[in-house]
Amino acid sequence: MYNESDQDYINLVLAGNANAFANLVDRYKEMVFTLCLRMLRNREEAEEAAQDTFIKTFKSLERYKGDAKFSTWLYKIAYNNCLDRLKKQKRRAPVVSLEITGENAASLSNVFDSIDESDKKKTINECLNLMEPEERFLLILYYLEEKSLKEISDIMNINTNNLKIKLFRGRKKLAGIVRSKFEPEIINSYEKE
Amino acid sequence: MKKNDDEAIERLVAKMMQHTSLEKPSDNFTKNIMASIISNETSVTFAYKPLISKRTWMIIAAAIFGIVIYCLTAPSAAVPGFTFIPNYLQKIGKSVPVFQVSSTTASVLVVATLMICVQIFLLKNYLNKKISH
Repeated sequence: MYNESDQDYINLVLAGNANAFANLVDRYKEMVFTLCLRMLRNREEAEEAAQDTFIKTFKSLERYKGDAKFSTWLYKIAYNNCLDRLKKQKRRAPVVSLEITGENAASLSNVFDSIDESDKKKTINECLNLMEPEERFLLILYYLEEKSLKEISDIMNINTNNLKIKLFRGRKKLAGIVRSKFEPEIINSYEKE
Repeated sequence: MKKNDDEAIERLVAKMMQHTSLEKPSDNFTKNIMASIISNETSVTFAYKPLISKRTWMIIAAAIFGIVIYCLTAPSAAVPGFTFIPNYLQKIGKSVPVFQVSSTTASVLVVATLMICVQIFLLKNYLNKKISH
């Protein structure tokens, strides 16, 4: 149902009604901006990249065949746009992510449950920002947009098997970063017991 | 055991990621994009269109090139193929002073014509790219 509406707007734009594109922008602007923000970690740059994504999408709308969802095509343009911008930036030093077991995960889950809602969001954002751009992009697409592995594979141009491995490693890394953040609290809670 | 660990980590990450949300861009976001799109559309409407098209230039250049090559390669005495010209035109032709072109001059003309054609093409591409950026 959602995709039929996208196609209606696309048809209107291709027929000469450029203003119809504003509907598509309003529909996807938050997701595109969030993806760009996660990749670039800077609001101004993310806004620029997101706007650029929509403008590029408009200019190449004639090439959209409709064989994939419009959102898949749009996020792919956003991803490639951000990668081009990241090439100009210096690479940051790799972050230490602690090893994590099932038991650690259970303790972390308890600690995470005990903190305030606003702190939860802040913590997860801080931990995500410590990961590689592609890892962040993948986790956001998988968990926030709930894209299938096949769709994410099309967006990021990685085959599904490699994607599964990246997702697995990304989860472990994120959990490890969260562990390094909460380690003192966990030790304290064990000591109290 | 490892599978249980992986499942526990997966549950933890899924729980944590529930607390992320979409970020909102600035209020003028859509407006800025549409302004850029509309201004690009307007500039395309008034794009420069040359009086003589590229195709016409190619035909003219090919015709000049063909004539010069024909003049160079045709026998000097007779000009076969031009016998259909009516008498009055031949009389006009005879009264006009003969313009003879040496082979060096003809070669230079051919090469110059080729260079101009190539340069026009290259310059046009260069200027188009500059304008579009």
